[in-house]
Amino acid sequence: MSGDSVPLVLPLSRLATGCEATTLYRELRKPLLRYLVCLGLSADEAQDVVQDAFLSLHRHLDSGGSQENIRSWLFRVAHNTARNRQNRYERRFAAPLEDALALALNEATPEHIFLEKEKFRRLRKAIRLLTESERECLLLRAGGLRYREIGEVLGLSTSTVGDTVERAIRKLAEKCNV
Amino acid sequence: MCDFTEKLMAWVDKELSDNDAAAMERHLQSCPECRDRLDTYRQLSGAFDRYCDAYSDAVTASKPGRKLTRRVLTISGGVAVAAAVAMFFLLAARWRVEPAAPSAAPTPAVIDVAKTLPPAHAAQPAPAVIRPAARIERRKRAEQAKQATAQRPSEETSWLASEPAVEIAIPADAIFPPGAVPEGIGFTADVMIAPDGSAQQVRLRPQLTEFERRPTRP
Repeated sequence: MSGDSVPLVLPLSRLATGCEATTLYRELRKPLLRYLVCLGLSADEAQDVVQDAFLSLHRHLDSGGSQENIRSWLFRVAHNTARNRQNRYERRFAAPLEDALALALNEATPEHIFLEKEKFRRLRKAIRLLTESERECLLLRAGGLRYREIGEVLGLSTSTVGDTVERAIRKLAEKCNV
Repeated sequence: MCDFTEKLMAWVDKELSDNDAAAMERHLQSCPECRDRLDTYRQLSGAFDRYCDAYSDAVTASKPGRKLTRRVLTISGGVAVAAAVAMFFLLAARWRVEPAAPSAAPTPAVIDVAKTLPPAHAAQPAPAVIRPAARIERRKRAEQAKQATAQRPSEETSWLASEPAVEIAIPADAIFPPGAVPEGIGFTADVMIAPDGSAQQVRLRPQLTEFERRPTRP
């Protein structure tokens, strides 16, 4: 091997701020992806948005931006980017999706599958009846965000988030008859 | 419905103040209705979570075929760039000794990375897998290389034309000490292989997602 010409194209400055960002990335990539996909983005769109959000985070931290509330900062950036690029924001999340059931249940026994499928069908119907904000609150909550953080993402007060989560889950309970 | 009902979720989510939480716990002791509801809410919360997972998995899985790019080597890992580079050189040296048969069945040829690792990393004998790129992949890549050639008239094109022969996945724990495997940021190395089989140029690029093979934007 001719070892004399080995250019390394590597933005080291970017990696220098990377430790915290790496931890955040490890922790938040999946919840972010899941949130965006459940909002109705395609897998590719969601990947792009997540990547953009983390690049924005790098820039934010590089330029000495606040390191507080990074989690909700990321979700907010992702949420807004998703909204901006997705003018056809649909309620795809509640669409029928047999594959999803199969995937979710692939370790269950057959009877189990049947029961779970029924439960999922009812849940899907119920999710369709939620308002956008109720659904977003539940999704962000499922992503591990605190009410305060959800409020920061959606521009709501913490108490409004609490009320919305409560109302959403009550609606689901009424419609699902679990 | 009693007054506590509407705070049940907040209690489940540990969003109540200590005083309110204590009051809720006392109330739950004496209110079977709230206990039932609590149970329901917890079940629903779990079901909602699983539904999100299932939906997101299904959408991700049904994603149309990932674009294959001209990269031939993906290293999962984050910070220890030097280790990754050293790793690559060691492996590159081996390629010349054991070139992959171009039309072989996709049975992976496993080489023992531990032997090639520097002593500091010798404790992690995770194997790296070298496999001949499948024929279809190679055709796709050749097509993409052709497109890339058309787009970039620079020196890069000279080696893009020769299609990549192997794809190597090096487990991150073969490179990093236990517990220090950074997930999330992967490295993609573009390797230029000369006709005599020697590697002539290596470029490492950090990528934010380990499975998405698109170049990081500048």
